[in-house]
Amino acid sequence: MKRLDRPIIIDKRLSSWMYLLFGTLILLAVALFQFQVLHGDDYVRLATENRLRVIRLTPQRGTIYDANQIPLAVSLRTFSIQGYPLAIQEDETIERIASFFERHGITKTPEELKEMLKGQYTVPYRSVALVNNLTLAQMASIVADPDFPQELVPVSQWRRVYPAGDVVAHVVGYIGSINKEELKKYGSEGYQGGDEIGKAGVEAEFEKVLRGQPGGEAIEVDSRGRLVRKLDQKQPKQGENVSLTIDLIAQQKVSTLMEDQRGAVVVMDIHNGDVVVLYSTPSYDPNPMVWGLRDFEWKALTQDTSYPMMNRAISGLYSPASTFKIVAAISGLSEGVITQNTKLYCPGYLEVGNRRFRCIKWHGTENVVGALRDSCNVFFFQLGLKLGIDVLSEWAYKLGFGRITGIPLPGEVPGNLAGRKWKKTVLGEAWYLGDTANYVIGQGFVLVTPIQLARAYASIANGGFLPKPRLLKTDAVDGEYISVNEEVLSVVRRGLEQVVKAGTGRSAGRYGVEIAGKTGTAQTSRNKNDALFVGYAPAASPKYVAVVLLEEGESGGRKVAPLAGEILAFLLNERGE
Amino acid sequence: MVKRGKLPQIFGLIDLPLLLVVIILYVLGIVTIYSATYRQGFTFVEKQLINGLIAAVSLVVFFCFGVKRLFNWSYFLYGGLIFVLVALLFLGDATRGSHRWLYVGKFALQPSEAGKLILCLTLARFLAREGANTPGRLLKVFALSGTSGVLILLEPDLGTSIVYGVITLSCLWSCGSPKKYFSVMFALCLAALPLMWTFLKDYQKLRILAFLNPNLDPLGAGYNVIQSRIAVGSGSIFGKGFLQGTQSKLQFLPEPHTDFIFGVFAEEFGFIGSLVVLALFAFLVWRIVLIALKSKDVRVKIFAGGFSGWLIFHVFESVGMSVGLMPVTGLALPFMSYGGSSLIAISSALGLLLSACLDYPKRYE
Repeated sequence: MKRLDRPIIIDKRLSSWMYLLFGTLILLAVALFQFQVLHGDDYVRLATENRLRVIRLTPQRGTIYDANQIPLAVSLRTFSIQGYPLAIQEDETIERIASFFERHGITKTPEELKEMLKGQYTVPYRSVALVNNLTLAQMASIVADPDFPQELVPVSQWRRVYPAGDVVAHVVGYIGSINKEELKKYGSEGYQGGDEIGKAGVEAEFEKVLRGQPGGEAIEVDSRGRLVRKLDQKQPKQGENVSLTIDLIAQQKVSTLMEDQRGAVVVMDIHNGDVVVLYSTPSYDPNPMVWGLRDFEWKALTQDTSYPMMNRAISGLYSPASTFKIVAAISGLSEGVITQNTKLYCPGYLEVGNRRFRCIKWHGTENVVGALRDSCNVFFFQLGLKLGIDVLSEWAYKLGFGRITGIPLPGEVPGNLAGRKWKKTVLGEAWYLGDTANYVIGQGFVLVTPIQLARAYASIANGGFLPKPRLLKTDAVDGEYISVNEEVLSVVRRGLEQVVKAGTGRSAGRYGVEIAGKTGTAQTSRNKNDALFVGYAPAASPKYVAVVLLEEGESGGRKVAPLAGEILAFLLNERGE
Repeated sequence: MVKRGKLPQIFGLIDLPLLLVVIILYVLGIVTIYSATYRQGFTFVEKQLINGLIAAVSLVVFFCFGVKRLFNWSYFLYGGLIFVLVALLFLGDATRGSHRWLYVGKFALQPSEAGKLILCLTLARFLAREGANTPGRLLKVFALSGTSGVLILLEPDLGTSIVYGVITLSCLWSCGSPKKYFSVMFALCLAALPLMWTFLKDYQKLRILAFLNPNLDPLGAGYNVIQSRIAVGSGSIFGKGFLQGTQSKLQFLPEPHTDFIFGVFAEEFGFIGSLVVLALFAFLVWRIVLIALKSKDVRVKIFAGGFSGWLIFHVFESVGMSVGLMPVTGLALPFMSYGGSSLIAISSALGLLLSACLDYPKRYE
């Protein structure tokens, strides 16, 4: 193409382009003429009446079962009466509806009804619930009444019930009406106002699985709000059921044994991480949470100083006390700082800096097995100072402390691994030798959760596999291998066996099962101790690891070890396959 | 170039009627946004006034900068655009499952809007030099604009990626690419439709299905179309009057100030009002093409072709969607919809185009 021709061709193209665009606009004008002028009257009528209504059909939520198919959370069919704000907002209509309800024993004043309309209003074509939780019999008599207000629509609904009540509340959790923040977060996943959503526990964690797919109905109504015809219907899809690893019978037993003390119990399969018991006390009944608690009830629950809503097993932070001595034992043996024959002298105390750290009593010379058996602090003070805080906290991390275990429940906390860096950034102080001494016996800065202890001891019992706690039977077994010598673990296991045979945890051995474990007593204030026992059984070929923790529970040996013994014995003797 | 200090001469050269029409459209937009949102207070109107101010500033800035200088930068800018789009795809915060937004402090920007302008500039420069008279060159052009188009499709933003396609076709047509190519492209597009269908996300399919038959899914996607059509249709010849629309007031219309702004406008101002708006856009196209015809720079001509295609496709989609003639994609009605990114991008393009007026006195290069 010659250079000079080009602008001319382009100008021609631009002109034709302009006419094409004009044509497009004229096309739009013609379309608008059709809608606004030719059919304008039809649309005016449609707009004044606006006859389309949408009803939401909620899906049945999946059932949550325990390991033996005992239901822990089920959805039962109930009925509700709904209406459209547009159709019933007038005073006269509301009064008529109120008096109709009155005759059927439902007392709702017109003011209360108006309040409900306002509270649930999102858009005028979306129905709001006026009465919930009616039985089939109630519903039948209401709908059969010839005076049943034409503006109202009967809708079937699901109500969540937790048959096991407070026994597994912290695991199962509960559901509730979706709130504004949740709606913002999950709105794109098809939630709308008035939907229910898992708020805690398994109900929240497996919301996507349990929920199912909501459906709906679009209906055309006449000018008085009466149904003319159905335009569209989408059946809701039921949510999937899930089976947990929790054994309700064992959980029940634990709940009876714990009475009304504060604390937590975890029982886990050491091989695959199946959580058989996860109990936190005081507990709460999830059933009223679903119906909607009154303000003062909710306040009473959340402001209770014994924190019944907290799952102590995964969110409770505790000093591990002497149960933490395994960390020093394993790192000392692994790093070659001691062998199983190394003996250290305990005169009943140790001077570190200018402070005197006490032992329970005079122990004389002890090797590591003996020191575990007698829970000798001085042996571990010396070992800890030889190892240093950096090595100790590194091993604590390897054993799963200071990080979440990944149990599929909301609200798990990582605890506090502590160490030089942590103290510098948080407290702005250097790490002292005294801190190491406290650290090695599980006092001071280090804080753990019961589920972390269960996992660490499981890895000792099974030869170095740190399992990820499993709650859903269908989940794959997951976890990590700790690089630790089997000989090291066998020495530690011997120490833990000695604890129950001849040491501080003898009372755990009274229930006919050979147990290996460690006691712990953490001083929380002047006269108060948290008492712990972590152990596994049978000692010879372990299957379960149990953690029992009592807040203000005297000492690990006296009150808690027997509890752990009884729980492990119950599981092995009465709940075996 | 006109020397500094010769303001009267500048005003003599630039297209003042065009600017006036743009301002009228913007004011109509503000009025409609007010009507759609006044129950929630003034925040939307206030924000749109600020958006307008920013748009006016960017118009002036780009006018002063001049379209010629920007042509020289265009490849560089296009590279930057691709970089940002890729970054968004991998790093972007997926609000409602899409990666459209770039957050700069308090502001949420849609880089794909600025991309429309950059694409026009890039194609104009490329086509002015290379032309598109052989299949090889045509493929080069498609590779060039396809890169950004596909990235936006992945965001996923089907509507905007179609705009990129329209801009490409507009530029190709304007640069004088042989007509037979367009017939082939049309045939290929038809053949590729079923293939494209499989790439669409579920919600996009739903929107298109609902557009083909709104009564198919009156619960979901079709509901908006039905309600918007009722809004437009019930506006009748003269409209219900300012603030008198019931469809938008009762919240039957979703997003009345953005996607469905034409529905709100048409309900209150009727067929007469709608005609006025369409006529204003026609006037706009006429003035844009006039500038292109007067300009002696081939790049400016092609740029004007792309720009006008971009504008009118937005209008076509936005108005068509409001009566259910087009699927719901969420493209803004130029100058009228609430939102900053689109307004600023279009104003900047306008500023560049107006800067070309200053070169009328010069000879062909």
